[in-house]
Amino acid sequence: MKPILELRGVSKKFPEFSLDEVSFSLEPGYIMGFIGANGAGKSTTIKLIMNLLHLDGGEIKVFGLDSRQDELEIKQRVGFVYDENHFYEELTIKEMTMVVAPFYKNWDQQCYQSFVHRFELPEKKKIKTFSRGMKMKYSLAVALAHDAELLIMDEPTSGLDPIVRSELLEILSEVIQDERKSVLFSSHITSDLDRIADYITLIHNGQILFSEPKDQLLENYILIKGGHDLLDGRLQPYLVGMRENQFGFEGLVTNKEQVQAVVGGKAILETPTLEDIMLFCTRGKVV
Amino acid sequence: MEPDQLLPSIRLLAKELQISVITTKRAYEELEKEGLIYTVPGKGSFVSGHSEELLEKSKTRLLEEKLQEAIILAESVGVSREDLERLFTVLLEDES
Repeated sequence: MKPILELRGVSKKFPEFSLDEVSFSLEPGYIMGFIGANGAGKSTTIKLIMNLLHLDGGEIKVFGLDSRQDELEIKQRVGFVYDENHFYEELTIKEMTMVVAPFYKNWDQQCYQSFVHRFELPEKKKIKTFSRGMKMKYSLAVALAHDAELLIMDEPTSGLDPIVRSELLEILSEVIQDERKSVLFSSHITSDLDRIADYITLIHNGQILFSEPKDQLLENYILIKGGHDLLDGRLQPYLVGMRENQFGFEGLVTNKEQVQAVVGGKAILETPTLEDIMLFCTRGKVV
Repeated sequence: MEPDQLLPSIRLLAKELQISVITTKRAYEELEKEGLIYTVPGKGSFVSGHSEELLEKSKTRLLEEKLQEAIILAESVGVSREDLERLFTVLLEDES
């Protein structure tokens, strides 16, 4: 199937930071979690997709269109939910919607109203009085009302309580029902993605460490816990990252069978969480 | 579930359980591989006719695995075969 979003060799240089040959793609009908530490390059990548930053090298295609040449067409079909409010604070959402709605050819007022109702958004209060969760829900209502095929969400759950986060996840799984729409969801709260994400892309220091189906990741990596005596070098080829403590070590390994043959019954092997994978992959082999 | 009963679509099930579509797809694929369900392209997935039999078999397999685990555990803590047998008999009697 043709990808809905495709990045090839995307580069961007800043004096203190650079994105280096970032490549990944997303097919219609799926949710991709875009994870990485603060400052890893998540927001920079998203801004490049939205053409809010100038691209130094590489290519970004959204719906098969070029992110720079076809920016307007792309933005008609993309819903953008940002972690900070980007609406006029002094307006009510009713007024704000009157400003933004005319920009979209596919604006569906009825659909918009139904989300305002569902999210219980007060139409007559100024946006500046809204909580973080309400602002996020408003952005989401706007994105969904213009029938966005690609939802790009930059840290949408940061600072939100578990109830609002779970509501958001519920809506996202509804959005992808028709197999036409996709979601790119950046977050450093990996527990949001543990269940719902189909693909996980990990970025670290401006480089993509992996972009794979989540199930495959959870199968390929194994969390290992054991005593110091196991660290005699035989595990070295399989260790992705580890942390030693006074009593033993905890680490992330690949190649389950080989590892099992090495350690026998002397270590505990567990399925890692995304957080374990992210931590050990970015921390590396600290010995 | 009855034989030939229609299963929910992959996407609907993923949505309702709030889990990844790919995870759900894999679950269906594995059920199909085990012969518990069959898929008709364009129609959906259905429960197999002999699924009950197969389920029975896989439960027996699971039982064997668990017993094997117990044997390995017994060996690693130095419980002899005779003691293990005796323990098993005691446990069986307790159950009944």
